[in-house]
Amino acid sequence: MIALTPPKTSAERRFLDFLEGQRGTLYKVAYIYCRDAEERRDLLQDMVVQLWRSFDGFDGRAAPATWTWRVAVNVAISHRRRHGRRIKDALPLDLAFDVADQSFAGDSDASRRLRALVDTLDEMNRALVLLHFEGFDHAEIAGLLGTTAGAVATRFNRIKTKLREQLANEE
Amino acid sequence: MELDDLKAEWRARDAVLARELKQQSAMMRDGLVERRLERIRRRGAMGPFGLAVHIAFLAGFGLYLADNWGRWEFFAPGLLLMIWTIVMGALTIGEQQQLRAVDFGAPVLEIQQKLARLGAARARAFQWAFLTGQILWWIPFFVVVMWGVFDVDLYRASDFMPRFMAINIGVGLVLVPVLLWVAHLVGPRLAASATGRSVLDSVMGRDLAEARALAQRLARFEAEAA
Repeated sequence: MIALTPPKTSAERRFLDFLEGQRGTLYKVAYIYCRDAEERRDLLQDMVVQLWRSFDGFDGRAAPATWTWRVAVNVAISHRRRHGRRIKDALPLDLAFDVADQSFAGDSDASRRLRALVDTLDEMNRALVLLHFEGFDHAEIAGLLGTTAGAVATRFNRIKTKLREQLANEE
Repeated sequence: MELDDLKAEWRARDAVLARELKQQSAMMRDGLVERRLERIRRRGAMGPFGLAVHIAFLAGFGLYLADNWGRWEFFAPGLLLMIWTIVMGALTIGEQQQLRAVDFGAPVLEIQQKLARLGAARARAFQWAFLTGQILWWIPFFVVVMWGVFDVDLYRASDFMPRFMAINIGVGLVLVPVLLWVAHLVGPRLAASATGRSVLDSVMGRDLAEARALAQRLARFEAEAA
């Protein structure tokens, strides 16, 4: 749990209700970008604070889930670049971090391979892999990350090659 | 192992995560309902002061009726007022009990429908209490207070008084249906505005407004968590 105090305004309450449905997304982004649980927790806070700051400006043109993906991935990318800065709790939050961490971070062979692959990727490629796992197609990923579908395809080919090389090295 | 194998692994873990978060949401929902129900109960309770006033009125009317047994021109308005007071008290308690009986663990749509029905019933009860109380009952009340408290016999205070009372009751009887019709016309427009909504909330009781807010919160909660 990050902090627990009652929401003070109706805007806060609306935001917290909104956040309730986005916890899974935020956690998965944090998982892809941070190996360490404490760091994941920090990133989660960063994402929530940024979502809260942008919440008023969310005009509903994009679906709430898409908007959350976009903000979360952008925050995660910049979080890694300015790692070390901590944002203090600004909102009453219960993101069920421990629940998410227990249920998501597995210890299987596939989990380790996934972790190993992710750890070798840069910020942009992590976002690509994450969004691919989440079922977005190349055009959608390109839209979310502000690039082209061609560039996404090229990066995917490189990621696949890297994965094969990794497996070959292990064998 | 290919990227798609990792994707399958990711999906499997995602399903577990979604299930865990859903369970956690259900627990949070239960906690929210429990906390809010206590507040609704507190707001809906008549309170010691309200109860004391109600009992004092009933006792006063009881004494008045006992004193005036056989003097029917004074007894009848007193009896009408006592019945009205009892009915109003019973209605208030009944409404509170109905609100307490609402199951906030039920589907949100069902809760909202129940609260809407309760709200409409309260608004109707208030409408009748207000109209009859302000327009019709004030004459008997006037008679009872003047006679019971000040020992003034309004029937014989002047020649004009009986006629004045009869005219008022007659006009009241005509006005009640007219005002009901006006309320029927104006009501929906009033309910649509923010000011009207706040007036209706105070008419229908803070406990019901609180319950409606809880139902709205649950609806958002479920929509976002879905």
